[in-house]
Amino acid sequence: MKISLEQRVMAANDEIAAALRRQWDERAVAVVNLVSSPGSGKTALLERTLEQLRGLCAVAVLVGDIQTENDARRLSGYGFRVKQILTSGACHLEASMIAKHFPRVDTQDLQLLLIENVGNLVCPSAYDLGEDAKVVLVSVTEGEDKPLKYPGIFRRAQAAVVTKIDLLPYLDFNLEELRRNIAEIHADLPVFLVSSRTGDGISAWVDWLLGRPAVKVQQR
Amino acid sequence: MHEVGLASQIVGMAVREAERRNAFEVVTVTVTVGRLLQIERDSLQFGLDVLKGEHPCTEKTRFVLVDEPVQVHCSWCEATTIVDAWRFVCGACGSGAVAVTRGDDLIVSEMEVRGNENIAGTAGHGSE
Ligand SMILES: Nc1nc2c(ncn2[C@@H]2O[C@H](COP(=O)(O)OP(=O)(O)OP(=O)(O)O)[C@@H](O)[C@H]2O)c(=O)[nH]1
Ligand SMILES: [Mg+2]
Ligand SMILES: [Zn+2]
Repeated sequence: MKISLEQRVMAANDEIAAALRRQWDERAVAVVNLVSSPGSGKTALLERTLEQLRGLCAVAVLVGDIQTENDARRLSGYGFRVKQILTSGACHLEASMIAKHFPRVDTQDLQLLLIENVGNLVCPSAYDLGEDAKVVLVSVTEGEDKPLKYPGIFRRAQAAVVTKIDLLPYLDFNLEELRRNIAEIHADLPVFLVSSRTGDGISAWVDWLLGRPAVKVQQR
Repeated sequence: MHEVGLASQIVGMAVREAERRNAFEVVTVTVTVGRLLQIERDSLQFGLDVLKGEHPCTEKTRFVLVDEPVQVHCSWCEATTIVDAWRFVCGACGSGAVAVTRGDDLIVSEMEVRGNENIAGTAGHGSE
Protein backbone atom coordinates (compact mmCIF):
# COMPACT_ATOMS: atom_id res chain seq x y z
CA MET A 1 0.00 0.00 0.00
CA LYS A 2 1.36 3.39 -0.99
CA ILE A 3 0.81 6.34 1.28
CA SER A 4 1.31 9.95 0.32
CA LEU A 5 2.70 11.77 3.37
CA GLU A 6 4.30 15.11 2.50
CA GLN A 7 5.52 15.60 6.07
CA ARG A 8 8.26 18.16 6.73
CA VAL A 9 11.13 16.75 8.78
CA MET A 10 11.73 20.15 10.40
CA ALA A 11 8.09 20.52 11.42
CA ALA A 12 8.70 19.51 15.06
CA ASN A 13 11.48 22.08 15.51
CA ASP A 14 9.57 24.78 13.67
CA GLU A 15 6.47 24.40 15.85
CA ILE A 16 8.50 25.02 18.99
CA ALA A 17 10.24 27.95 17.30
CA ALA A 18 6.89 29.45 16.30
CA ALA A 19 5.64 29.24 19.91
CA LEU A 20 8.80 30.99 21.14
CA ARG A 21 8.42 33.68 18.50
CA ARG A 22 4.79 34.34 19.50
CA GLN A 23 5.82 34.70 23.14
CA TRP A 24 8.68 37.09 22.27
CA ASP A 25 6.54 39.10 19.86
CA GLU A 26 3.90 39.65 22.55
CA ARG A 27 6.52 40.86 24.99
CA ALA A 28 8.49 42.79 22.35
CA VAL A 29 11.69 40.90 23.16
CA ALA A 30 14.15 41.10 20.24
CA VAL A 31 16.15 37.93 19.61
CA VAL A 32 19.42 37.72 17.67
CA ASN A 33 21.20 34.44 16.85
CA LEU A 34 24.95 34.66 16.14
CA VAL A 35 26.37 32.03 13.77
CA SER A 36 29.95 31.50 12.57
CA SER A 37 32.74 28.94 12.16
CA PRO A 38 34.50 27.90 15.37
CA GLY A 39 36.71 30.72 16.60
CA SER A 40 35.50 33.54 14.35
CA GLY A 41 34.99 35.73 17.40
CA LYS A 42 31.37 35.33 18.52
CA THR A 43 32.17 35.35 22.23
CA ALA A 44 34.71 38.17 21.86
CA LEU A 45 32.12 40.28 20.04
CA LEU A 46 29.54 39.52 22.72
CA GLU A 47 31.96 40.58 25.47
CA ARG A 48 32.42 43.97 23.79
CA THR A 49 28.73 44.23 23.07
CA LEU A 50 27.61 43.50 26.63
CA GLU A 51 30.10 46.07 27.89
CA GLN A 52 28.43 48.69 25.67
CA LEU A 53 24.86 47.63 26.41
CA ARG A 54 25.24 47.94 30.16
CA GLY A 55 22.68 50.40 31.46
CA LEU A 56 21.13 50.86 27.99
CA CYS A 57 19.17 47.69 27.49
CA ALA A 58 17.97 44.65 29.47
CA VAL A 59 19.84 41.75 27.89
CA ALA A 60 20.03 37.99 28.40
CA VAL A 61 22.48 35.57 26.78
CA LEU A 62 22.25 31.89 25.84
CA VAL A 63 25.46 30.34 24.55
CA GLY A 64 25.68 26.95 22.88
CA ASP A 65 28.74 24.74 22.83
CA ILE A 66 29.33 21.04 22.44
CA GLN A 67 31.55 21.04 25.54
CA THR A 68 32.76 23.39 28.33
CA GLU A 69 31.23 26.33 30.18
CA ASN A 70 34.11 28.59 29.09
CA ASP A 71 32.08 30.97 26.95
CA ALA A 72 29.41 31.50 29.61
CA ARG A 73 32.15 32.23 32.12
CA ARG A 74 33.67 34.85 29.78
CA LEU A 75 30.27 36.49 29.35
CA SER A 76 29.31 36.67 33.00
CA GLY A 77 30.31 39.74 34.98
CA TYR A 78 28.58 42.28 32.73
CA GLY A 79 25.47 42.36 34.90
CA PHE A 80 23.32 40.25 32.61
CA ARG A 81 21.98 36.71 32.97
CA VAL A 82 24.01 34.18 30.98
CA LYS A 83 23.40 30.46 30.55
CA GLN A 84 25.54 27.88 28.80
CA ILE A 85 23.68 25.27 26.75
CA LEU A 86 25.71 22.08 26.33
CA THR A 87 24.50 20.32 23.21
CA SER A 88 26.20 17.00 24.07
CA GLY A 89 27.48 16.41 20.59
CA ALA A 90 24.96 18.29 18.47
CA CYS A 91 26.60 20.75 16.07
CA HIS A 92 23.81 23.34 16.35
CA LEU A 93 21.17 24.69 18.72
CA GLU A 94 17.57 23.55 18.28
CA ALA A 95 14.39 25.34 19.30
CA SER A 96 13.70 22.77 22.04
CA MET A 97 17.02 23.64 23.72
CA ILE A 98 16.14 27.34 23.70
CA ALA A 99 12.66 26.61 25.10
CA LYS A 100 14.22 24.59 27.89
CA HIS A 101 16.92 27.07 28.92
CA PHE A 102 15.35 30.46 28.21
CA PRO A 103 13.37 30.60 31.50
CA ARG A 104 16.68 30.51 33.37
CA VAL A 105 17.84 33.82 31.85
CA ASP A 106 14.45 35.47 31.45
CA THR A 107 13.56 38.61 33.40
CA GLN A 108 10.33 40.56 33.41
CA ASP A 109 11.84 43.63 31.75
CA LEU A 110 13.83 41.70 29.11
CA GLN A 111 14.35 43.56 25.82
CA LEU A 112 17.05 41.66 23.98
CA LEU A 113 18.05 37.99 23.95
CA LEU A 114 21.42 37.24 22.36
CA ILE A 115 22.09 33.65 21.34
CA GLU A 116 25.58 32.40 20.47
CA ASN A 117 25.19 29.29 18.36
CA VAL A 118 27.62 26.37 18.24
CA GLY A 119 30.61 27.16 16.01
CA ASN A 120 29.46 25.77 12.65
CA LEU A 121 28.42 27.44 9.39
CA VAL A 122 26.17 24.75 7.96
CA CYS A 123 23.87 23.11 10.49
CA PRO A 124 22.63 26.15 12.49
CA SER A 125 21.30 27.73 9.30
CA ALA A 126 18.57 25.08 8.98
CA TYR A 127 17.20 25.44 12.52
CA ASP A 128 14.72 28.16 13.35
CA LEU A 129 15.09 29.20 17.01
CA GLY A 130 12.26 31.71 16.92
CA GLU A 131 14.78 34.52 16.49
CA ASP A 132 14.15 37.82 14.69
CA ALA A 133 17.53 37.74 13.01
CA LYS A 134 20.36 35.38 12.34
CA VAL A 135 23.68 37.21 12.13
CA VAL A 136 26.61 35.55 10.38
CA LEU A 137 30.17 36.36 11.47
CA VAL A 138 33.22 35.85 9.29
CA SER A 139 36.73 36.74 10.42
CA VAL A 140 39.31 38.20 8.07
CA THR A 141 41.53 35.14 8.54
CA GLU A 142 38.96 32.85 6.96
CA GLY A 143 39.15 33.81 3.30
CA GLU A 144 37.00 35.93 1.02
CA ASP A 145 35.10 32.99 -0.45
CA LYS A 146 33.27 31.95 2.75
CA PRO A 147 29.90 33.26 1.44
CA LEU A 148 30.23 31.14 -1.71
CA LYS A 149 31.23 28.03 0.23
CA TYR A 150 28.52 28.43 2.86
CA PRO A 151 25.74 30.25 1.01
CA GLY A 152 22.95 28.85 3.19
CA ILE A 153 23.72 30.91 6.26
CA PHE A 154 24.51 34.05 4.24
CA ARG A 155 21.15 33.76 2.53
CA ARG A 156 19.23 33.35 5.80
CA ALA A 157 21.14 36.01 7.77
CA GLN A 158 19.78 39.53 8.36
CA ALA A 159 23.25 40.97 8.84
CA ALA A 160 26.89 39.98 8.44
CA VAL A 161 29.74 40.97 10.76
CA VAL A 162 33.32 40.88 9.49
CA THR A 163 35.47 40.34 12.59
CA LYS A 164 39.13 40.77 13.59
CA ILE A 165 39.71 43.69 11.20
CA ASP A 166 42.68 44.76 13.39
CA LEU A 167 44.53 41.88 11.66
CA LEU A 168 44.04 43.28 8.14
CA PRO A 169 47.52 44.87 7.94
CA TYR A 170 49.09 41.45 8.39
CA LEU A 171 47.00 39.65 5.75
CA ASP A 172 46.35 39.76 2.01
CA PHE A 173 42.65 39.80 2.71
CA ASN A 174 40.54 41.51 0.04
CA LEU A 175 37.59 43.16 1.77
CA GLU A 176 35.97 44.29 -1.49
CA GLU A 177 36.00 40.74 -2.80
CA LEU A 178 34.28 39.53 0.38
CA ARG A 179 31.64 42.24 -0.02
CA ARG A 180 31.05 41.19 -3.63
CA ASN A 181 30.69 37.54 -2.61
CA ILE A 182 28.24 38.41 0.15
CA ALA A 183 26.18 40.53 -2.25
CA GLU A 184 26.10 37.72 -4.78
CA ILE A 185 24.31 35.46 -2.30
CA HIS A 186 22.33 38.13 -0.45
CA ALA A 187 21.97 41.51 -2.10
CA ASP A 188 21.63 44.43 0.34
CA LEU A 189 22.69 42.42 3.40
CA PRO A 190 23.98 44.95 5.98
CA VAL A 191 27.69 44.34 6.65
CA PHE A 192 29.49 45.53 9.80
CA LEU A 193 33.29 45.65 10.09
CA VAL A 194 34.50 45.21 13.66
CA SER A 195 37.51 44.50 15.83
CA SER A 196 36.74 43.22 19.31
CA ARG A 197 40.40 43.83 20.09
CA THR A 198 40.51 47.59 19.37
CA GLY A 199 36.76 48.30 19.55
CA ASP A 200 36.68 49.59 15.97
CA GLY A 201 33.22 49.41 14.44
CA ILE A 202 31.58 48.16 17.62
CA SER A 203 29.37 51.20 18.10
CA ALA A 204 27.69 50.85 14.68
CA TRP A 205 26.99 47.21 15.45
CA VAL A 206 25.64 48.04 18.91
CA ASP A 207 23.40 50.75 17.43
CA TRP A 208 21.94 48.20 15.03
CA LEU A 209 21.27 45.85 17.96
CA LEU A 210 19.72 48.63 20.05
CA GLY A 211 17.34 49.38 17.20
CA ARG A 212 15.90 45.89 17.28
CA PRO A 213 13.79 46.06 20.49
CA ALA A 214 12.39 49.41 19.32
CA VAL A 215 11.20 47.81 16.09
CA LYS A 216 9.48 45.08 18.08
CA VAL A 217 7.65 47.61 20.26
CA GLN A 218 6.35 49.39 17.15
CA GLN A 219 5.19 46.11 15.62
CA ARG A 220 3.10 45.27 18.65
CA MET B 1 27.04 17.51 10.47
CA HIS B 2 23.46 16.96 11.49
CA GLU B 3 22.60 14.30 8.91
CA VAL B 4 22.47 11.58 11.57
CA GLY B 5 19.97 13.61 13.62
CA LEU B 6 17.83 14.15 10.55
CA ALA B 7 18.07 10.44 9.68
CA SER B 8 16.84 9.46 13.13
CA GLN B 9 13.89 11.86 12.78
CA ILE B 10 12.99 10.41 9.38
CA VAL B 11 13.14 6.82 10.66
CA GLY B 12 11.00 7.88 13.62
CA MET B 13 8.41 9.45 11.30
CA ALA B 14 8.25 6.25 9.23
CA VAL B 15 7.88 4.06 12.32
CA ARG B 16 5.12 6.24 13.79
CA GLU B 17 3.20 6.25 10.53
CA ALA B 18 3.54 2.46 10.20
CA GLU B 19 2.27 1.95 13.75
CA ARG B 20 -0.62 4.30 13.19
CA ARG B 21 -1.69 2.19 10.22
CA ASN B 22 -1.02 -1.20 11.81
CA ALA B 23 1.56 -1.98 9.13
CA PHE B 24 4.20 -4.54 10.05
CA GLU B 25 6.69 -3.59 7.38
CA VAL B 26 7.79 -0.38 5.71
CA VAL B 27 8.93 -1.26 2.19
CA THR B 28 10.09 2.11 0.89
CA VAL B 29 10.27 5.68 2.13
CA THR B 30 10.77 8.49 -0.36
CA VAL B 31 12.48 11.60 0.98
CA THR B 32 12.70 14.81 -1.00
CA VAL B 33 15.92 16.71 -0.35
CA GLY B 34 15.95 20.37 -1.36
CA ARG B 35 19.27 21.56 -2.75
CA LEU B 36 19.35 24.70 -0.62
CA LEU B 37 19.58 22.66 2.58
CA GLN B 38 23.21 21.67 1.89
CA ILE B 39 22.55 18.16 3.11
CA GLU B 40 25.28 15.64 2.46
CA ARG B 41 23.24 12.95 0.71
CA ASP B 42 25.70 10.12 1.30
CA SER B 43 25.78 10.87 5.04
CA LEU B 44 22.00 11.01 5.21
CA GLN B 45 21.70 7.72 3.31
CA PHE B 46 24.30 6.15 5.58
CA GLY B 47 22.51 7.40 8.71
CA LEU B 48 19.18 6.04 7.48
CA ASP B 49 20.66 2.64 6.64
CA VAL B 50 22.28 2.35 10.06
CA LEU B 51 19.36 3.62 12.14
CA LYS B 52 16.61 1.68 10.37
CA GLY B 53 17.89 -1.50 12.09
CA GLU B 54 16.64 -0.21 15.43
CA HIS B 55 13.00 -0.95 14.58
CA PRO B 56 11.58 -4.26 13.35
CA CYS B 57 9.25 -2.60 10.83
CA THR B 58 12.03 -0.62 9.12
CA GLU B 59 14.79 -3.23 9.20
CA LYS B 60 14.50 -3.89 5.46
CA THR B 61 13.19 -0.51 4.33
CA ARG B 62 14.65 1.08 1.23
CA PHE B 63 15.07 4.82 1.75
CA VAL B 64 15.02 6.68 -1.55
CA LEU B 65 16.44 10.21 -1.59
CA VAL B 66 15.12 12.44 -4.33
CA ASP B 67 17.10 15.54 -5.19
CA GLU B 68 14.89 18.61 -5.53
CA PRO B 69 16.20 21.50 -7.61
CA VAL B 70 15.51 25.10 -6.73
CA GLN B 71 12.34 26.64 -8.10
CA VAL B 72 11.56 30.35 -7.88
CA HIS B 73 8.50 32.43 -8.57
CA CYS B 74 9.02 35.87 -10.08
CA SER B 75 6.84 38.69 -8.81
CA TRP B 76 7.78 40.79 -11.84
CA CYS B 77 6.77 38.51 -14.74
CA GLU B 78 4.90 35.85 -12.70
CA ALA B 79 6.99 33.04 -14.22
CA THR B 80 7.93 29.98 -12.18
CA THR B 81 11.32 28.62 -13.20
CA ILE B 82 13.97 26.14 -12.11
CA VAL B 83 17.27 27.90 -11.36
CA ASP B 84 20.79 26.98 -10.27
CA ALA B 85 21.14 26.81 -6.50
CA TRP B 86 22.20 30.19 -5.05
CA ARG B 87 21.47 32.13 -8.28
CA PHE B 88 18.28 33.79 -7.24
CA VAL B 89 17.21 35.39 -10.51
CA CYS B 90 14.15 34.66 -12.60
CA GLY B 91 14.88 32.12 -15.35
CA ALA B 92 12.46 33.92 -17.68
CA CYS B 93 13.15 37.63 -17.32
CA GLY B 94 16.32 37.82 -15.22
CA SER B 95 14.72 39.85 -12.44
CA GLY B 96 15.94 39.40 -8.88
CA ALA B 97 12.43 39.82 -7.48
CA VAL B 98 11.99 36.12 -6.87
CA ALA B 99 10.81 33.97 -3.99
CA VAL B 100 11.97 30.37 -3.56
CA THR B 101 9.02 28.01 -3.98
CA ARG B 102 10.82 24.63 -3.99
CA GLY B 103 14.20 23.22 -3.05
CA ASP B 104 14.33 24.63 0.47
CA ASP B 105 12.88 21.78 2.50
CA LEU B 106 13.34 18.18 3.62
CA ILE B 107 10.13 16.22 3.20
CA VAL B 108 9.07 12.64 3.80
CA SER B 109 6.92 12.55 0.71
CA GLU B 110 5.81 8.95 0.30
CA MET B 111 5.82 5.54 1.99
CA GLU B 112 4.98 2.04 0.94
CA VAL B 113 3.90 -0.28 3.74
CA ARG B 114 2.75 -3.85 4.16
CA GLY B 115 0.36 -4.81 6.88
CA ASN B 116 -3.12 -5.77 7.77
CA GLU B 117 -4.77 -3.97 4.87
CA ASN B 118 -8.25 -4.29 6.37
CA ILE B 119 -7.35 -2.57 9.58
CA ALA B 120 -5.19 -0.06 7.72
CA GLY B 121 -8.06 0.56 5.32
CA THR B 122 -10.48 1.42 8.08
CA ALA B 123 -7.86 3.47 9.86
CA GLY B 124 -7.90 6.13 7.29
CA HIS B 125 -7.02 7.99 4.24
CA GLY B 126 -4.18 8.23 1.80
CA SER B 127 -4.34 4.62 0.66
CA GLU B 128 -4.45 3.94 -3.02
N1 LIG C 1 43.09 39.97 16.87
C1 LIG C 1 41.84 39.66 17.18
N2 LIG C 1 41.55 38.47 17.74
C2 LIG C 1 40.26 38.19 18.04
C3 LIG C 1 39.21 39.11 17.79
N3 LIG C 1 38.05 38.52 18.16
C4 LIG C 1 38.36 37.32 18.66
N4 LIG C 1 39.71 37.11 18.58
C5 LIG C 1 40.42 35.91 19.03
O1 LIG C 1 39.95 34.76 18.30
C6 LIG C 1 39.89 33.63 19.17
C7 LIG C 1 38.48 33.04 19.15
O2 LIG C 1 37.55 34.00 19.62
P1 LIG C 1 36.17 33.60 20.28
O3 LIG C 1 35.45 34.85 20.59
O4 LIG C 1 36.37 32.62 21.37
O5 LIG C 1 35.47 32.86 19.05
P2 LIG C 1 34.06 32.08 19.02
O6 LIG C 1 33.48 32.32 17.68
O7 LIG C 1 33.25 32.45 20.20
O8 LIG C 1 34.55 30.56 19.14
P3 LIG C 1 33.64 29.25 19.44
O9 LIG C 1 32.63 29.61 20.48
O10 LIG C 1 34.63 28.24 19.90
O11 LIG C 1 33.02 28.88 18.13
C8 LIG C 1 40.31 34.11 20.56
O12 LIG C 1 41.63 33.78 20.75
C9 LIG C 1 40.10 35.60 20.48
O13 LIG C 1 40.98 36.32 21.31
C10 LIG C 1 39.56 40.37 17.19
O14 LIG C 1 38.73 41.22 16.95
N5 LIG C 1 40.88 40.60 16.92
MG1 LIG D 1 32.35 31.21 21.64
ZN1 LIG E 1 10.54 37.11 -14.17
